[in-house]
Amino acid sequence: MSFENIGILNYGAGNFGSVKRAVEALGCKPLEVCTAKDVQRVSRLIFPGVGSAKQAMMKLDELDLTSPLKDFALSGRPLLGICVGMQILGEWSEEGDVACLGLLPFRVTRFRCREPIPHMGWNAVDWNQSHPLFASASRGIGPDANFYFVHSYAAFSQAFEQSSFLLGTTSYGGDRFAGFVADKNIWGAQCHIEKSGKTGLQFLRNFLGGEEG
Amino acid sequence: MLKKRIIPCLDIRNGRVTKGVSFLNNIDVGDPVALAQAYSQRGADEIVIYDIDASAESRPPDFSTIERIAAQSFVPICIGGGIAGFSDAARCIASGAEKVSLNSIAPKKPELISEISSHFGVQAVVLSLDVRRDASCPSGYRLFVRGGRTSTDWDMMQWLDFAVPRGVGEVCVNSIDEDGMKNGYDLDLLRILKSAIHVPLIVSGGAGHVSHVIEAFDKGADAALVASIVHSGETTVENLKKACLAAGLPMRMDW
Repeated sequence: MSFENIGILNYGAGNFGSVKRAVEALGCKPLEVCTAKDVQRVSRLIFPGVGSAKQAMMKLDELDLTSPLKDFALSGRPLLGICVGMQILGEWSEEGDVACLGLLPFRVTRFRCREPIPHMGWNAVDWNQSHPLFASASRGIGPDANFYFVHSYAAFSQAFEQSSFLLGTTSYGGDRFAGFVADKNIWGAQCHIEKSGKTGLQFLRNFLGGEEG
Repeated sequence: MLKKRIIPCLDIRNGRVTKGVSFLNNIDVGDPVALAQAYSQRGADEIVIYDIDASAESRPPDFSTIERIAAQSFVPICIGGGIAGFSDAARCIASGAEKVSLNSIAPKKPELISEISSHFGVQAVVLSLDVRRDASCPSGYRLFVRGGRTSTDWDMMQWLDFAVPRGVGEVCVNSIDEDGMKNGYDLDLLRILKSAIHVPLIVSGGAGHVSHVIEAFDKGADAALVASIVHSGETTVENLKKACLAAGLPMRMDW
């Protein structure tokens, strides 16, 4: 179990502290990752995000972290993007009309439904049981379990060139979007798993490769 | 399906929870850290921490308490009271809160809304308002500040039209007329707000019975702030949610 050498990217995203506390609650001592050198040092990386996709991309560029992040993902080491951190794993976001990391083939657009925006609160995930990572990612998590979401933009199901990247989908006001994505070592959670109670901590534990708590 | 949220509100004074919280065995009910943890483990969908003296004493909220709560409670946390500027909000968020609630400060310093939301996102800003029925206002309600003690020149809807586009992620409304009356939420107020605003709506003040919460959710409230109804032991968050579920409302029952 690789509970060691876990990094959390700190590029000024508001939820860095919350993600750190959640990882610590699982008994890990995560490393704060701020530079390209730090990225190379860690064996697993969590990539938090709050705010807009454009701000996040600008910040990564400013800190010279864009290429190191891509290299990290391409090296096969496990990467988990959370919220905006997940959204910018894709190709493009409507939020600021910005090109993203392009690690997964999806595009992020604004909710079109007539419900209140942001989509804020606890919502369930329909897991894609044929996904190769379904069993390991959802271990210890019941089919009706809820996660905490807060966002105005999402990767909607129809925007996926290959639905095989969809690990779980969530619906809001008739819009269905990616709740979780995964392709081998690259994982993403649209919800704030660090604030989703014990269910969120279990997902985090599954990403880190630990046993069920 | 998105669930309706039940949000216990803890009032803090000198690092202790003030209102008579009496329901939890074996827990120091005055300790906000233990209490927040207990609520988060017993079904609370979020927790609001309100530092009741901070504004009056012109000091920021108690960051060390926020930090200790956030280390134990893995549900969203919102801080109210004492946020006078951007740096206070930033410290709340760095200490582990997701959101700050702006009340009296917002009409005085509306630019604070956009300062916080442009940096942390709109979801970090809850606009909290105390309103009272007033026939001389176009919407029928007037905005009050300072815990509902001081009236303003703002009509409620004109205030919301002005403030929400600056970057508000949620609106929390408290009816001064109904607060503490235990007669239920002001449903006219809820109807007016639901048709006019397009961000999630939290209702506060007036719940004396489970049926009042169900009624508010039925009329479109996205979340309900609860205090004495759960603190007093009259009911629990779990029982409140079970009753809402039985009434056909979508509730989170896994925790």
